[in-house]
Amino acid sequence: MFELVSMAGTPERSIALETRLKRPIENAQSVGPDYQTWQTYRKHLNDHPGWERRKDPSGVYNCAGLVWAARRTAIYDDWEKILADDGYKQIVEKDVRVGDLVLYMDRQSKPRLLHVGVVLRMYQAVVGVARASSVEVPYVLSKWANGFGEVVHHFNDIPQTLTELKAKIEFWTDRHDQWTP
Amino acid sequence: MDTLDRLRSRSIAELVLLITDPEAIWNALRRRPEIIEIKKQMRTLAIPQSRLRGFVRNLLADFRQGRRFPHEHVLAALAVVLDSVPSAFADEFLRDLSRLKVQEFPISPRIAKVAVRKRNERVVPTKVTTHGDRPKLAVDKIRESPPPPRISASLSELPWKLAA
Repeated sequence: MFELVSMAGTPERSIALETRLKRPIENAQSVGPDYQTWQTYRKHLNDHPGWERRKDPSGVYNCAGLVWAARRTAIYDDWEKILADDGYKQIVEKDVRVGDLVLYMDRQSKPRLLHVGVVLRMYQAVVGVARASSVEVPYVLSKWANGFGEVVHHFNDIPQTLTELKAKIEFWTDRHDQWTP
Repeated sequence: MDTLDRLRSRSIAELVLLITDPEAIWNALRRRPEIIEIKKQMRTLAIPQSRLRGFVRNLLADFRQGRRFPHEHVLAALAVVLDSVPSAFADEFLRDLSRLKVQEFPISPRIAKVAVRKRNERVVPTKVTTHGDRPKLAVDKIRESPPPPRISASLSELPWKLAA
């Protein structure tokens, strides 16, 4: 049924990529975005004025490729393997630091990854009126789709689609050693 | 509007674009009202295979080398629709899409793989088990009795008996 596409298309390309425990990570690079994807990206930028653009769209990598493959390729399936082999552990919001990860998960009995981003900075925000206090809010570097660009956003400023899915927000870190000089 | 054209919806396109894990996309798609409705129609055979084939052919006409295929979300949604449909077209579509490895189609073949896996999980494997000894049947008595004498053996004895 897809013989012509298979012959005329650009063959899928993957790169050598492994977890810390040397297990292979399945990955694939893809071509640049089509017009509709560009339009969707532009619409999201308009809908989210708080998103700060870092880089224009690219098809080579996705969010997981940005976080775990240094923008070289896209990762779709093997995120559980990476979390386990690379020594990540889940933390609570108040313990989040720059460089930690924000995972947006679905609400299935066996939760699956919707999106991942890396905490780029902590922003001091004032909460309350009568007894105002300041809290640190994570801002995340994200690539929301394979054909989108990179943006920095408040961890809760997410596309409507993920809000409708009631995405669960988790924080993960690879920091677990008590370092003493 | 053709029923199948509902698969071109913006909401479906957003789900396929924004979600990373193919199984999470499959989970989200199967709950979409458009997909539930079309699945229902497939069960009542309201959509003939020829129409499905024509629909896919029309989509593929927009394929351009070097650019992401603009109807990937429609193919992904169709894979979710067809994962529970027992038809030759569904088998062919899911098999061929799941084997596609070109950069213009980064997502839909992965959704098709999930759909094939779910489809295979639904097939109940045949297993034969025996529960203890059953009462003996007539056929068992025949099987256990000694074989009858060979006809050829008795024939070979015949001339000797006649001579005697």
